[in-house]
Amino acid sequence: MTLTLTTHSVEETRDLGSQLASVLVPGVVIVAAGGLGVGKTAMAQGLARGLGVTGRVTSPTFTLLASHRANNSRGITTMLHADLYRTVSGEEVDDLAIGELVESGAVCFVEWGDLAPDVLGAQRIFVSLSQGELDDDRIIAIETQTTAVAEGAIAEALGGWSS
Amino acid sequence: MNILAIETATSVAAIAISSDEGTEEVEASRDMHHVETLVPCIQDHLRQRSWTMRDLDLIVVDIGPGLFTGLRVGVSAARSFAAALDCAIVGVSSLEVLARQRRQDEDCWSVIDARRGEVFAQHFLGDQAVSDPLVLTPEALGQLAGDQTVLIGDGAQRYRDVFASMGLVVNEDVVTPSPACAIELIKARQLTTGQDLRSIVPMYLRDPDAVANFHVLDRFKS
Repeated sequence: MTLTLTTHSVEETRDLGSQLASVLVPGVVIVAAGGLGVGKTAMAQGLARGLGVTGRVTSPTFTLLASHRANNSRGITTMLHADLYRTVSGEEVDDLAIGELVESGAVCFVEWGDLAPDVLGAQRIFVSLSQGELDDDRIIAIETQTTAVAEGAIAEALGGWSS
Repeated sequence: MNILAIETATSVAAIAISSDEGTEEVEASRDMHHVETLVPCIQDHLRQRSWTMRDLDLIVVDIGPGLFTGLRVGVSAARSFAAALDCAIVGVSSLEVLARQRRQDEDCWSVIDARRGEVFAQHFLGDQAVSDPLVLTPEALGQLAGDQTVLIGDGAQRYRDVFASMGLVVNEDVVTPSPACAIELIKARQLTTGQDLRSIVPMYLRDPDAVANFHVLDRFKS
């Protein structure tokens, strides 16, 4: 089942990311898809806020993978933030070892994660962002591929943005 | 002979330093901060003995199988030291080191957590390996292992419920490979003269499995 939501500004996309953090558990990977400027990084910044990350979160386009210490009541000690846009082969994605790292009390947000979803661990939430009707509108489709987070919990946490 | 052993194959990183007076083992990190903790730990413990890196005659390194992110830290550190110091180096298997840590008369499987729902495992009788090192699910290992065997290692602990439900015994005392034991192992095998530096590479066992859909980028990059 896909949950389809609409935000109307970058701030709202950030807030949605922050709310999504409230239902995550360690080991979950968020596979984010969508074109340039559609709000993937904004959503990651919101997620970081929701997980209690204090440092600045920018898109790791050139560093490929960033690790932020998180501080929350959900047992998530690390937020990993990856960007596969600059990777050029499946082996390069393998080298990041996201599926392995996320099992150390982490969650991971992967921009362009749809490039290689199979190696991103077994507990995945797919998030697809696209342009909406107005300039600042974004359609955000969320589909869970994990038993670790209930779809109903996500729908409830993000209910305010239902289309 | 002065020996440094480096262990980073699991979530616990450790070192051992050995001389003719004996062997000391130290844990460097428990939570995958291997890259930040390994080299300072080595530095501290050499300094406590008033040694420098140049006092080392041999470097022993666990080449896996184990965590991809951990092995890269330990193997690259060991290789760099050996190359820079022109010092002998020898690689050991994590599963063989684990097997040496149990009672040698036990039929055992060494089991290391490979994450992503799998384990690395190898069967030992006495000090002999009687299977290749394998990567498989805990359920598949449970079917392969006979009920006369004992499972050891962090992979056995993590999936203890799966193994218990299949009637298998987990020895909870042997969890992660001991670098002090790695030194004993290479002494017992008379490998202290070292191996070709270029042959010291991580044993990953898994093939690269990222099948990437790079066409999704075409419309943005062109």
